[in-house]
Parts: sequence; C-alpha cells; structure tokens
Amino acid sequence: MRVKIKPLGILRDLAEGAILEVELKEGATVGDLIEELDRRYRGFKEAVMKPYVTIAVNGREIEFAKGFETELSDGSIVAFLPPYAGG
Amino acid sequence: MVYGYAGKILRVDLSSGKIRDEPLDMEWAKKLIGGAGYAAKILFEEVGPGVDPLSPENRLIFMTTPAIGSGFPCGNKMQVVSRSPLTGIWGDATFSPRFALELKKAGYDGIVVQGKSDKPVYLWISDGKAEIRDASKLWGKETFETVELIRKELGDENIRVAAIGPSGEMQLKLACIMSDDGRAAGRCGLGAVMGSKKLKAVAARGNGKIEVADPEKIRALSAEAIKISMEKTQGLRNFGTAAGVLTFEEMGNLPIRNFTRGRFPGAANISGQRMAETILIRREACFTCPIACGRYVEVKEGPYKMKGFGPEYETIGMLGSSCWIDNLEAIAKANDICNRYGMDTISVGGTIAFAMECYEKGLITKADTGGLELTWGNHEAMVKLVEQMCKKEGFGAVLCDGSRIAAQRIGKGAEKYAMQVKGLEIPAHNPYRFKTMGLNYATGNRGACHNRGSPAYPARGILSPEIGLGEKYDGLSPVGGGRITKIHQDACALVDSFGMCKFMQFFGGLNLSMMTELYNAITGSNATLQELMKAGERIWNLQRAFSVRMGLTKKDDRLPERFLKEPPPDGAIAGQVVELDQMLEEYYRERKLDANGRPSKEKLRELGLDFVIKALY
Repeated sequence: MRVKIKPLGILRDLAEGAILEVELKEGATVGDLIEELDRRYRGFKEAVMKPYVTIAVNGREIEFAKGFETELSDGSIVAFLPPYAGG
Repeated sequence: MVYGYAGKILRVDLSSGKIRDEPLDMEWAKKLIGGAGYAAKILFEEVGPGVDPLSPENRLIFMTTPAIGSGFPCGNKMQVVSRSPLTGIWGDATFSPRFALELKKAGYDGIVVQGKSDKPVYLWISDGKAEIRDASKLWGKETFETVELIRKELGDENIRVAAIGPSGEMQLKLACIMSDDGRAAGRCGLGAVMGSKKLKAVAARGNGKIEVADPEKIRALSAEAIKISMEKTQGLRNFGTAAGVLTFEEMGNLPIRNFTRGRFPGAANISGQRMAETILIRREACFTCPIACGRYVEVKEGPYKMKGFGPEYETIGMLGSSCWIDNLEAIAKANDICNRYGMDTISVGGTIAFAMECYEKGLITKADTGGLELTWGNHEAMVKLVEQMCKKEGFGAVLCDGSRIAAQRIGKGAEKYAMQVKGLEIPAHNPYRFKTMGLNYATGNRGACHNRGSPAYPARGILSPEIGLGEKYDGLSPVGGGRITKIHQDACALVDSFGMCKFMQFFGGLNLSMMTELYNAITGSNATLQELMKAGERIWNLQRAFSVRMGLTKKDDRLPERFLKEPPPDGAIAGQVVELDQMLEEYYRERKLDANGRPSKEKLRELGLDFVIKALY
C-alpha cells in the first residue's frame, strides 16, 4: 500500500517541499512509517519524536487513536506538524 | 510611588471641547488590572442601555496596560473599548501599536472620549498636555496618509498615531482603527464610533518613564522568556501567523467555503511559507517583540500591485480559503485596501464568504451584485467587492455593515448563511475541529472571537497546568468543554488586561506563574496567580454584565445552526457537529450564570461587583 506524507515542518526542509509517497507493507503502522522515513532521512526520528510535534493521520492526532500502533491504509495522509499558531 | 501605571486618565468631551485629567483609581486598577478590564467599569457606569453606539453619549476608551512600558518582550497590548455599533453589546479590540507606549510615556494610562465634535478633529497628546486640533484637511484621507499628514503638521516624524480611514468616517459597522505601524484594533466596528464623534485620529509622543517596582527581576524574567520562546515561535518568525495555514488545513481548523468543507486543495498557495518565497520583503515586529510575526510585502506588478503590511493568518483564512480563493496576491491587495480604508479584514472576509454562498445558492444574482459573479474562488470579484465595501459603493453598500445586517437586507432566509455570533463574524478557527471554540464563540463577550478565550490551546498541546489545564484533550470531544472554556476565557481576560501577547504568553511558553511574577515585579504587588485569575473572572463578568444591561440573554449564546446540524463532508471534520447544548449546560454551571444568562448575585458578590447587582436585578 502507499501512504502520502504532507511536507510540513521538518519534512518540508528534508524533502524540499514535495509530497512524499511511501510504499509500506499491508498493516503497517505509524511507527513503521517513522522507521522507514528515518532510514531515508537521517535525523528524522529524533526531529519528530518531540512532545510539541503533532502526528496526524488524515488530520486526526494519533494520540487519540492508537498512538504509534495506529494502522495505516492505502491512501492514508500522514502529517508531522510543527507547533502551530495563527492569530 | 505608582508602579506600572502612569497614574492618570485623560477625559475628553468633544461636544464642549473640554479636556481634563483624572487620577487612575488604584483600587480598581488592582481589581481589574488595566486595559479592557479597567475600561469595563467606566463603560458600565457611564453607558446605559438607552445610549446608541453611534451617539455622542457613547464612550470610546483607549486603555493601556501594566505590561506596556516595562520593556518585557511582547508586553505591548492595549485595548479600545466601547458599546459596539456592530453588535450592540460590549465591544473591545486589542492591538499593539507603538502609540500605546507613547501615550503612557506622555503620562496617561488611557483616554476616555465622549461627545461629538461639530467638525473633524484629532487629539494630540504630548508629555502631560493634550489638545484637540482641527482635522478638516485630514477628513477623507486614508489611514497611513493621515499619519503622514499629522507628523508633517506637528513637525515630528516620531509621533505615533491611531487613526480611522474613510470607512470609519462613514460609520460603517466593520470599520476599524489602524496604527501607523500597521496594527489594527480590528473588531466590533470601533472605527465607526470614532467616526461618529468626528475624531479622525489620536496622536501621542512622550518622554516620560514608567516606573516599575523591580527592574532587576523584570530583566531576569525577560531573559528567561526569550530563552523559552525562541524555538517555539520559530515558525511564526519565519512564516508569520500564516505559518498556520497548512497545518490548520491538514487538521480541519481552516475555514473553507464559509465553513462547509474540511479540505482546501489551494492551501499551499496561500501559506506563510509561500508568502516567504514570493511577496515577502521583510518581517515586522511590534515594540519589544523578539518574535516578529508581522509581514511587509510587495506585489510588483499586475492587477494586484501593492506594497504594504502583509496579510495575517486570519485575513488569509477569511478572504482566502473561506471564499475558496488561493490567490495570495489578491488577498494581499484586499488586505491592503482594508488597512488603508480602515476595515476589519476578519469580518469583511466572513461577510464576502457569506455573500458568495448566497450567490451560489441563488439568493442573489448578478442583477443584485451589479454584475459581480460571486462564485467560489473568484478573486477578481472578491477584491472588487472589498473595495466597494470600504467605499460603501455598489453591492458593497449591502455588505459593509457585516453579515447579520446584510442578511436582513437580502432577506430570503439569508441569515442561515451568516456565520456570526451576536453580530460578530466567526474568525478563522473552525468550531467543527475544536468544539470548545464553538462554545467560546457562542459565549464570548464581544461575540465570536478566537482571542477572548482560546480553549483550543490545551487541545493543541499548549497547556496551562497551573490553572487546571494540564492535560492535552481531544479537540473533537465536547466532554469537559464548559469547564475548559470558562477557565480559558478568564485567563485571556487577565492576559489581555495585563497587556501580554498570546504568542508569548501561551504559545511562546511564558506560563501564568511567570506572568504573575512579572505582574508583581512591575506593580510592586504581592498577588498570587489565584488572585489574578479571580481578577480575570471579575473582568469577564463585568463585561458580560454590561451586555446583559444592553439586552443580552441566554438565547443569544448560540452558534449558527450550520455547526449543530450540517456535518462537513471531508477532511478531519467529516461527519462532525458541535455539541453546543451539552457544553453550554456545563458552562452555565461553571460560570454560575442564571437561566436568563445573567451572572448570579452570589457570583457578583464573590467578585466584589456589588454595584453591578443593583443594575441587573
């Protein structure tokens, strides 16, 4: 299956703004995706595993789903969101 | 010695031309902190229900705050307060102009304006002296042009000014007050109140010093605040408030097509990141601010050629995504027109999104709009309409007083497409995504506002454990929303009246315990956070009591029916509705509001607001 990753925050710099698509095996979780991205982009895991980075699947924070065990499906959109404001 | 305050209020009666000084009431300054808190008592005592907002009897109050003049980073917010002509209830608007610092250094904590001048005037305040001056030559001029003319007339480039543009002169109910440095006291139509008094501008220059109780402590707290806030505010610094566009679109918080959708494919085109790559010339900072979220932009050529202050997140959300528009240059142009004419970009955007929905649904046609095709995404029509609204021309004359009045003018059931509460347009944070924001809009003292309470902050991980908001909660859940919203509204009443920017206070990591230390270091008090939160609650209830006197009841604490009954089809808010009644019930209990929406007698006594009881009961 393929999941899409929105180029926001740290990934915007690492992937130079492109929307990433990553091929994962069926049943892969958010945790698996982070491992995969860390293999591609050195320092990715360290950059996103911070309390103020929100990880969302289809706009929904994973902490209100199953955390890093949240399962992904074909076409899922995953975002690693920096602290966000907007006045 | 008075610490943290200038100690004086300037009283100006434009009918008689009389000016006098009045000592700041220190007992009430302590109880109500400053800003919109202190001004609430003046407004409550002097403006009764019979006073029309645009009549001479209404008061227009410019009030600074204790943080101003302390030098603390982002301690720069002041308020303008009046009975709002847009909503008919409590009206206030916060901004951070350098004018605030000059006013206080000139010796005044605030200005209370009453009456109405026969001819256009402006107010000039300089080191303890105030003067009403002729503004006949300024009448009709745009905001920034007015600033330049005043500086030229008085022969000082460093004079700081807050002025209205032609929209305020025409008393349009969406008119704002603009400062020379591009900050807007935007909401509630206070520019129209200024226009009704024929007051074109207030200008100040001061060389005095604001004494603080413990400068060493303030220096130490400042260093700490800068240290903790710099990383957290990096996005704001790099990309402005519009840094939030992409994230909020992803989360479902962005307003899209007048709050009917959850996804906007054009978000990247109107993001702060795109602005930085294209039209940004430089960043702008308010005084004492190390964050610098402001933008200065230039569109070099084409129909949207402009150079000036750049659009904020709110402006982009309302004039952009809520109108399905992804043309950043068009939004920058529309923003610039609003700044020059002096109109609130949030309400202007909300009203145009309303008109577009009416057009798409067939309630209005090209015959009504003078040929403008108000289809979703039509940026040419949007910019044209902004100009028409600012000038009260063409179809703009129907829309220039906001969506509630426009819906009455249009008829045909148009009111259900007006996304407003109590007359104030809903800003660019989506109640479908953060349910407590829906409750906050329904109960906010000035109508739908994202700043007089930001209960979504804890849901976004911006926590305040000292006041019982230490856990990140699920923004899609209404559970506990009444309690969270009540607490956050009180906290914001406190923070606003103290004068701290929320990008430092909450977002930047300055916590309320540090703010308490700062308050004490500035004023020489020995207050606890609990006492200051009580002051926040006192301010909220006094403002509420003012509106109750103006006729507000429980039935006004509502959201547009859309949010309760029409789930959006897509994005993170697909299938959601706002469980308002459930949250409202809890909120009323937490607030101790009675069945009519009045603060209960017990609550008013507890807060030391006994004088309010006589007026409400």
